[in-house]
Amino acid sequence: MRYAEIMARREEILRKSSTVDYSGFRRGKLAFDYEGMMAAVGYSLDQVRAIQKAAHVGGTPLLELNNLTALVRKHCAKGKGARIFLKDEAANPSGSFKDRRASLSVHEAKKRGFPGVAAATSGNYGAAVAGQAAAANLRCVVVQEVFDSRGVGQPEIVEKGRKCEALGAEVLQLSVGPELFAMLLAVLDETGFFNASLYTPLSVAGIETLGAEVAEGVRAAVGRDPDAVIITHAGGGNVTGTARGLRKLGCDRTKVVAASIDIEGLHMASDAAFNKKSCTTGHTGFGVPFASWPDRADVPLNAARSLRYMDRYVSVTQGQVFWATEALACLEGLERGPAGNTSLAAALVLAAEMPADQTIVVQESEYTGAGKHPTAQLSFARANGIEVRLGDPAEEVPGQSIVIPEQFEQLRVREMDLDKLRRSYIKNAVKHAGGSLAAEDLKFVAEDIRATKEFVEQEIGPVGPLGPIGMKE
Amino acid sequence: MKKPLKRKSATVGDWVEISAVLLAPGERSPNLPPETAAVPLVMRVRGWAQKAGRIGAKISVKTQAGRVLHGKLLAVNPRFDHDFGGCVPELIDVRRRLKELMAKGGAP
Repeated sequence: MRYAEIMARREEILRKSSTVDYSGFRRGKLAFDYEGMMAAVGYSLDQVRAIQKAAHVGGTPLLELNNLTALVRKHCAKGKGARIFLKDEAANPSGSFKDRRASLSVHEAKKRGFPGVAAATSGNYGAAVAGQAAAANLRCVVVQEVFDSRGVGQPEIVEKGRKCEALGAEVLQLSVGPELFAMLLAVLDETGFFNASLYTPLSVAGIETLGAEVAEGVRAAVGRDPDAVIITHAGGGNVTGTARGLRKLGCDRTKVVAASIDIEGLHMASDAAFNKKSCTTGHTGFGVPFASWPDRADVPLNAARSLRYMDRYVSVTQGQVFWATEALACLEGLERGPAGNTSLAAALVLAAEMPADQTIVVQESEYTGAGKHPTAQLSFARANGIEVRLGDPAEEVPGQSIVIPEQFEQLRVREMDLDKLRRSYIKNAVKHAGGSLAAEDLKFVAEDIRATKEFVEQEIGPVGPLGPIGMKE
Repeated sequence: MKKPLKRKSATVGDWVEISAVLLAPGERSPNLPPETAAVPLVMRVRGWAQKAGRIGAKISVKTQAGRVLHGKLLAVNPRFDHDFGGCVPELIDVRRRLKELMAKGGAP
């Protein structure tokens, strides 16, 4: 396979493997009709619910974490300590919320007569696509980035590969590198399968039911809307879909908080750094680049646009996530996968800031098992030269150490500067637009990052009728 | 329990794992960190052997998706070696502290 050859045919292959005509939504160099594209999914929220129900997806329990709430209240000011709820998404067929994303794609692929589905993912999404495809009698290929040049793979990804295989998929496992995308294109080209990308409107619409169920569950439990919903953030779909679902149910005052694991300093395409990360997703290595430029995905226009919806973005350390995973198991009797507990780790800190009569919802959990488990992942980290110890998580250096908190008081979140992400987005936008923005692009960019036109203009200079001005130095 | 002996060759229809180089170092994406650019992009895939061969021999497999792929035979009846890992004393310590903390003054 020639890399350049397949990449040159990118547009054509993506068009054939999709049901969306993306070009119809374009309005400028960058601008596109986002809401129009989402509406073109063609299913209402209730229709999506019905499709998912038929596929055994969704309707997961909302659990109040009484002991973790009590733990927080032992450590915060009197009158603080919001009630913590967990949407137990591990109860979905393949063990994570990703079934919601896969269900609509597979439904659509079946309806339109595709012989199978393919997806590039090293995460839980692979198992979701494989499982949904199995139930729909469709063939499935999952392309995964699994091992480094020594042939060594993180136990978490190896387990995800096993699960895809168990659910009947071909699992094409690759060594480290961004060519994963080119390999997906080659598979799509050869098979004529549907591209079940994480970033299609169908995938994001599938998550809206999660936001809706959170709203309904909290209303049923406490008689009012959730005050905050905290969402593990990587590619942006989880934040986007959940927030859209909350809004569809009228939760306009619910704070949407994104949380990622801090792996600053580790290069995503590095063969050497690959096995120095101890969580394979939910981290800033995806969260930051996808927030500051969503259109780096395996679709022409990305439906997952997290800056549109985030009210706040925080990061936590790997050590804190393992701590939270342990706390969930030993205090609530819920053994769940570590990566899905990223938002839980952050929620414990945020709950302490909030009044006791408020609620905070951790909107997902994921299954756990061999490989996808704190003991497996920490043992692997140690074997790869990472120092694992108890102490102050502030001392953790991604790729060098994992510091598991000794005391509750050591838990903290790092605020991610949303304006900095917005400025980075603007810079990317100008670059992708060829050095300047037209008036319609300016309007789109402002909407896409939830900023004013003035904010965008401050970065790039005014965009007037006489023509756009390029990037400010 | 005795581990079964590792098979040294595959017959047609065996479930096997193969490996192949997809892109040699010079053929890879132009934007790679040097340590990644220096090594090939390699694939591994499992399927049913389409012809007999010894470990290391070039064979083809039919995958669960029905594709036929070619590569070097890595293993017959390949194992999953991932597990729950070793004991992590730090986590046991966290558990003990949490339990003690909750016991103190009783849970509200």
